[in-house]
Amino acid sequence: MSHDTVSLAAFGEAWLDADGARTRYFANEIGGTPIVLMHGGTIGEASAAANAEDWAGVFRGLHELGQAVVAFDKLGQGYTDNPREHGDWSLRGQVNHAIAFLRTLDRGPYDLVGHSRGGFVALQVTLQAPDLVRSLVMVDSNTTAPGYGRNDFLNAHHVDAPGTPAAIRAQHVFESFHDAHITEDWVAHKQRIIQSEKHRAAGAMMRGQGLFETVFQPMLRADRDALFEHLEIAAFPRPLFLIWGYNDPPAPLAIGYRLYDLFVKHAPLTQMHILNEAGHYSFREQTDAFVRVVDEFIQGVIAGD
Amino acid sequence: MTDVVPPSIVFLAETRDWDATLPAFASTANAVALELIANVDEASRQLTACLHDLGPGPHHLVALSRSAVSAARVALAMPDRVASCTLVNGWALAPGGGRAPLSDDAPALGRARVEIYRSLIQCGMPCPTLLVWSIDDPIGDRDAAAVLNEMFVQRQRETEIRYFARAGTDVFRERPAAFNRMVSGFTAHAASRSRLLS
Repeated sequence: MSHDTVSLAAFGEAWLDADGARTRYFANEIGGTPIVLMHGGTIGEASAAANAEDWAGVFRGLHELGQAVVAFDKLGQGYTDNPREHGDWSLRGQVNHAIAFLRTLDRGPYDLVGHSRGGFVALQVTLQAPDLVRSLVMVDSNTTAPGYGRNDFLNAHHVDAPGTPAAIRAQHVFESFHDAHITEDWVAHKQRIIQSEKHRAAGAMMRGQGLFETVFQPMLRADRDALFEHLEIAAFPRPLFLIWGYNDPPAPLAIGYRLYDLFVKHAPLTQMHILNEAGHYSFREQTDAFVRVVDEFIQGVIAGD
Repeated sequence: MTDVVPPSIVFLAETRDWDATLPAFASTANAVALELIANVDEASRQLTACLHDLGPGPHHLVALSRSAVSAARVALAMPDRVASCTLVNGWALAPGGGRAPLSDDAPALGRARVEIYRSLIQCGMPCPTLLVWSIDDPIGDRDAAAVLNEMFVQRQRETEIRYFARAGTDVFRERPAAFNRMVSGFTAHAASRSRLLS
């Protein structure tokens, strides 16, 4: 398979109002239960701009296999509106927005695929609105895994001015096994988002006014603690599959194993798949294998085994 | 016109049979089960002869438990004949051989392991390789799996690892649908890769 790894324009950009937030999304024209791809990243990040089109290769690969696919920009990221309420500058806000988006789209229950912070959002959507979810694939989610990711340490290596092409490239190099997927087009695409007025405003709120430290992080800590306590005693309500890059710098495999151990305590059918020569963006570095195993998992969900 | 011999999926084990697995592959591949001799050196020769008999291939090997040693060894020795390796709970390949009982061929098994490790580090597996581990296998040890994985990933980009929970050595019997779907997808991928390279 060869993939356009930058743009989903060929599938048509669409918009809907999700609980008051104008939300950008892409959907192919295949019917059936959609696989919903949820990107990672943080609102207003300085040298990254995670968005729906990070999934371009996977979207295209699943489309070629005949799967219905949807990808959307989470609240405050990509081209979706920024949060309006103080408490929504958080993953909790993004969970509520994701639930509103999925309800408004009205094509559930969905198969969710969440990467990194998007994995945490997808997991919380599953717990809080299980009627919307048929299954969940978690990908390299250091936000969800017990223990600590290495993002802050990696980000401390930056030497370029934030938001410049060099910094955007470096950010993704830090997080990858190899740099082949970090094309100039992809970097330029992200820089356009970073330079948008909406993204600048988000950065001013999160870093300038400090909401990342005063709202985002405290809520995340509380929600993680509650999640771990919950998973110690309760089964996860939907079929679950973990995919991890063997060489993930910010989300080392060791914490992936801890997450897997936590899940299988009460969800013993959960499987974990590890892709070699793949970093945090395992789905971009090993796209064909990623698409194959997601499709395999979905076939199992459909078959009920 | 010469008859074209299609690539086979060769299911390997020493004592267990794959009767329940073969029908799942019968419509898409020439699925063959080979019961290997319980001596690693003789088993490797047996597998080599089998691949010659099956034709040029390249063929897919799906090897259970101790037969993973012979599969890896033959794949390394006959790169043109093997399209992919799926090594299922191959604890005998891991350092120290996992928790399996001591076998009569333990010295030969030890030598085979060293030979395989050296090849993995020097040149790597010549084909896509899927390592399958049941983390609750009584004779398994995930730390041993992790060390072994580390050797396989060094020089073969297309190395993948799959973990199953609450399943033992015979994961293909305990979780047949999931196992068959996984092998089917992986071998199809490896077959298309072989066609691209040929």
